[in-house]
Amino acid sequence: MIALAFFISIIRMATPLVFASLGGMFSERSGVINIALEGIMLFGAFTAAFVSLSMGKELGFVAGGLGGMSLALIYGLIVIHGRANQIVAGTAINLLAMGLIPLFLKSLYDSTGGTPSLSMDQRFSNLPILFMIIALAGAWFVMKKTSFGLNVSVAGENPEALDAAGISVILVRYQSLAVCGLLAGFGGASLSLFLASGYTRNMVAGRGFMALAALIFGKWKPVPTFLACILFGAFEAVQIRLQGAEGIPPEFLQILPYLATVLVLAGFVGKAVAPKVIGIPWKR
Amino acid sequence: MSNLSPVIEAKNLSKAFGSFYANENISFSIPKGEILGIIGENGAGKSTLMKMLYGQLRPTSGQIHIDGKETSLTSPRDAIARGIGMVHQHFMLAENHSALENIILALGIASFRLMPHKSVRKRLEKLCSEFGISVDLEKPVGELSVGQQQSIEILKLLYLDSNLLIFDEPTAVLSPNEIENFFTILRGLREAGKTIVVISHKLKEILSISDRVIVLRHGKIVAERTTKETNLGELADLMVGAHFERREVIASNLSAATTVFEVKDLSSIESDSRLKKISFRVREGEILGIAGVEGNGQSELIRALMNPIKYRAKGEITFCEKNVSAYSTLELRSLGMSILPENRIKEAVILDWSSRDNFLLGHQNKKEFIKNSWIQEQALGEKALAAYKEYDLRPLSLTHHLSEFSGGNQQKIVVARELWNQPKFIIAAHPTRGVDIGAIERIHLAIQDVKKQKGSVLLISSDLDELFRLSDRLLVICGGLVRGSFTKGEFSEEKVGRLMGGGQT
Amino acid sequence: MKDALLKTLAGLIFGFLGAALISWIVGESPLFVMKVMFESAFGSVYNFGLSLFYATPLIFTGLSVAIAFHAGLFNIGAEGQLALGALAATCFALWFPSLSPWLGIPLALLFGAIIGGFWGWIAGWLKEKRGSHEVITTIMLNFIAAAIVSWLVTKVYQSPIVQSPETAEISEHYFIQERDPLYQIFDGAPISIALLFAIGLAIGVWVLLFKTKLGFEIRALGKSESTAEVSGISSSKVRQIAMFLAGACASFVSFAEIIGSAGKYRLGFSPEYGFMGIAVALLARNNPIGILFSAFLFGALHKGAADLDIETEFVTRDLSLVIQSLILIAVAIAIEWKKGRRA
Repeated sequence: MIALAFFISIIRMATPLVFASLGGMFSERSGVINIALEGIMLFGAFTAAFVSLSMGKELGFVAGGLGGMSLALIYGLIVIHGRANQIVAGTAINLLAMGLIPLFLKSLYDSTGGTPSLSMDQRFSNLPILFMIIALAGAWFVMKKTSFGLNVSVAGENPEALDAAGISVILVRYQSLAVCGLLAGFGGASLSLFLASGYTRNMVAGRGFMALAALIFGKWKPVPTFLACILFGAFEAVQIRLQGAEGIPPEFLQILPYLATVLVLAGFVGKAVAPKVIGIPWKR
Repeated sequence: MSNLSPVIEAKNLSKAFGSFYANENISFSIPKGEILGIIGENGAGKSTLMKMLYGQLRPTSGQIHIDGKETSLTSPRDAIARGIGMVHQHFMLAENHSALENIILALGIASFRLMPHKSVRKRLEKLCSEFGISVDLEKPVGELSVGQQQSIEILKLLYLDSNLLIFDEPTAVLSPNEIENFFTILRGLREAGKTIVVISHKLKEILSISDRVIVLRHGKIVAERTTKETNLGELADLMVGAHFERREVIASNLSAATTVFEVKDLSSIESDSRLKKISFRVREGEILGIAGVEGNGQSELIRALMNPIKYRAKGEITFCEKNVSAYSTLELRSLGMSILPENRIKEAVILDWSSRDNFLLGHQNKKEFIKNSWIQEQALGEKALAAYKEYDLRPLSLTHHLSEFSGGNQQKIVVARELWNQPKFIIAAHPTRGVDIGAIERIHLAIQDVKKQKGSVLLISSDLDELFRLSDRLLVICGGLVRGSFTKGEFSEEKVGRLMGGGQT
Repeated sequence: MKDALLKTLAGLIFGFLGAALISWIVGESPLFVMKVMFESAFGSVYNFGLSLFYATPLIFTGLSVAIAFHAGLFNIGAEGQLALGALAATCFALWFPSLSPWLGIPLALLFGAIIGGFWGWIAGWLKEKRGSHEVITTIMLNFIAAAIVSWLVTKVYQSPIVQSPETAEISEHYFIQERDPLYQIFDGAPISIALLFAIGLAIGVWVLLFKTKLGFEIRALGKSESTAEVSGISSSKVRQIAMFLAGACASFVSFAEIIGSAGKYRLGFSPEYGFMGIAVALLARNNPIGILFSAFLFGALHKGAADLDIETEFVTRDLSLVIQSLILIAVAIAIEWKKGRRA
């Protein structure tokens, strides 16, 4: 029973990560680096909590996705039409989310610390896990079996070929970013409506970057990425268990996901090859 | 066959970029079932013309008629819908995906749908057997040979029911065997009533495959010939513009000269082995030419010679009586080697640097310019200015970014820089590619000067005129092998050409 | 040059207009907000001193990002490099408490620079030997550094006398605030001679980049790796040196924050100076001298926003993040704008 409970706690921990890294997959496979995942999740977490407070958790969850999507599309506008450097723009989006949300909180609730706590029926007990599984299956299916998935991956691999086939690279990238924002926003929503009860300041706490790490660890493919999230979720769950206990300092568990990612990126544990034209704005 | 009504007709097509006309008043028509060759030097306007026919560029003036109707092509998709297909020089293939998925991609499904694997495969298999194309439909395209990738491009066009097939430099990357195979497929397509346009600067191939030839020069059509009624010499003259006078340069008496640079049994380490036991020596005051169709190991050879430590190859390289098989570029340069790399923009210059900074590249270890790690701007500037005079470089400014210089002036800057301090040995790869006539003359002169000063040159080029004009000896490579060697006086376009194509003398 | 200044100016205007709009949306008078910020940043000698104090670390991290950028690398890792480097400098001071300031402080800074430089070098080395993209590696190294620092501070060097996670205080041989000439001028703002050091470092980095062989090689590598290679520049060596230098620059934050003001390592003392360094470098187009100005701007912005919490009803200090991000976005777009149109 303890093992089962522990397993469930791992899955819970992994849920926001899975959403975000699947979102990141769409963006990066289409050729857009996304270090803005952190800010997109944050914004999703905030909008979800805000809507859930007044209109219920279901709409709150959807709002989280839409909030994330809107920020991702702003990011898209900056890097696709504006052709801005994606690292700079991603950093800027993270700052934007970190700066805007407290301003909204202040004028909505007169506190910069977070939203008021959600009541039991304003938050989920287990449903987001199911949503997450559906998202995973959907992402796999889309990438493997549909024309959209093909277009996304060609946009990140050989955009000239996509253009030659008469498909707009720019449109495909916007679509990918929309999907990315939706999923990462759901990731944020599952933080504020599921793992916690309400939005608290900077509650994403590096999970966006960890999702990015999982994506690389999973070599930009849905199922391996999912497994990487589970692994990272396990590190997190173990670390929470160990808190206060003597022995291994929790900091060492904390670094495992990042260390693992560095190792896989360096090809010490299988080689991760990024989409070919990732980071390069499209120009005919 | 030209009685048939034209499939496509260009009427006074012009395309201007700013005040520069890349194409001017181009008119021609192509009847059904013809293979038309379009030839011209780099920069003659071939690709601009093709881009207009394929809807990638809009003409500044003039019209395109398809099946007798005036048509304005606004995008490649538009062109495809009207039965025009194009195989680009660089294939439009997603390498991680199978041939099958690449064809599905070419269908241009923008909406959200399941990929129609089954139906596409069925039709593809039919097309394959109909046109004698054999290709693996399931493997990632990146794992297939270049020839097979080209077949996939052709399949794409056939699948899309293209009637006019445009090929941009189709043989540039093919091996001789693959070229034969490709020509067979082309003839099959012609039988089936397809109309074909082949753009190339390779005259021999155009002569052997086309029915008719159009020659472009400086954006205009300068001649149109029925292939049967023309020959290599005429086309070459038309393409270049003037009857090419070969000013012979007197070969120095070299038999007694010492060997400066020697390569023994150089082979690449990789399994695909682009280099196969290449051996040669370059003597003092000698220009050794290396002729070959591009993609036959030249790039690999250049890399292995200029940076042996990084691009490790089997075999031995000797320079100035030292075994340099594991030397770095830096060490080779300090022994007196200079390099005119293949790709000027990518490997020789930095476009958004001033010309003065560009002059320092490759000399950043010379005491003349760097003292105790401080850049000697004065000395550098003076020496650069001297080069401006010597090479008639324009604009006369050390601070202008290199991108503000014309291609010819850029290359002259590179040549001037690399020939500073009288190098003992210089690797000159395609030294006049994409350069105007005046600059070509000046660069050729500079290379001959190296020789006068007892320097040696390894000249790698695909331009036979250049090779014949400058080389004392000439090696021909094909498929990574040295196929033959000639000394000055024995050069013949026919013999060299045959070897380049993989034939025997 | 003129073009670059115009684009920067456009970015600044966009950033402040955006902030004004947001202030108005949340119900505050934009003019009042700007006035509060201006006074908070420049209103008194003390305030001005604080702006300079915040600018100092940003000079270091801005230079860190800029050096790497000149070598064609994106250093997102300044945060981790400064954390480890600053802790190393602190540790040095704790280990050798009685060295004279003239010896101890330079050595502490040097030790910090070596550790920070090492942390930066890892990313350069991994890129060189294993082809790992430095952006991802440096992000990951930030988290790893944060965990290591957190462990060292709380478990190994935790001050015995306080509850909060911080090290013991460094000895007065290192902590020279009372004798610091700049500290005297600014009415007790925690500013220190670290600022002069930062200005000197910026000039030094400019000279290095534009007047020396190493700088030439770094810039060549950054502009075109293939050209650098054909020119006989060892991309491997230069890349690793550049990342080492980047990490070393970031580590000097310890001079301003620990030796110059706090006198101890407090966990989480950096409000993301490393990330702000990206903005600083971008605004200055990676010109070391320009970084002095852009660091001052962002320092003043940081200080200016600090009083918003108390002075206004609806706007908080977080507005400075919004302004920063809008400036970043505008400048990043402006840089690419003309390039895109020309092509």
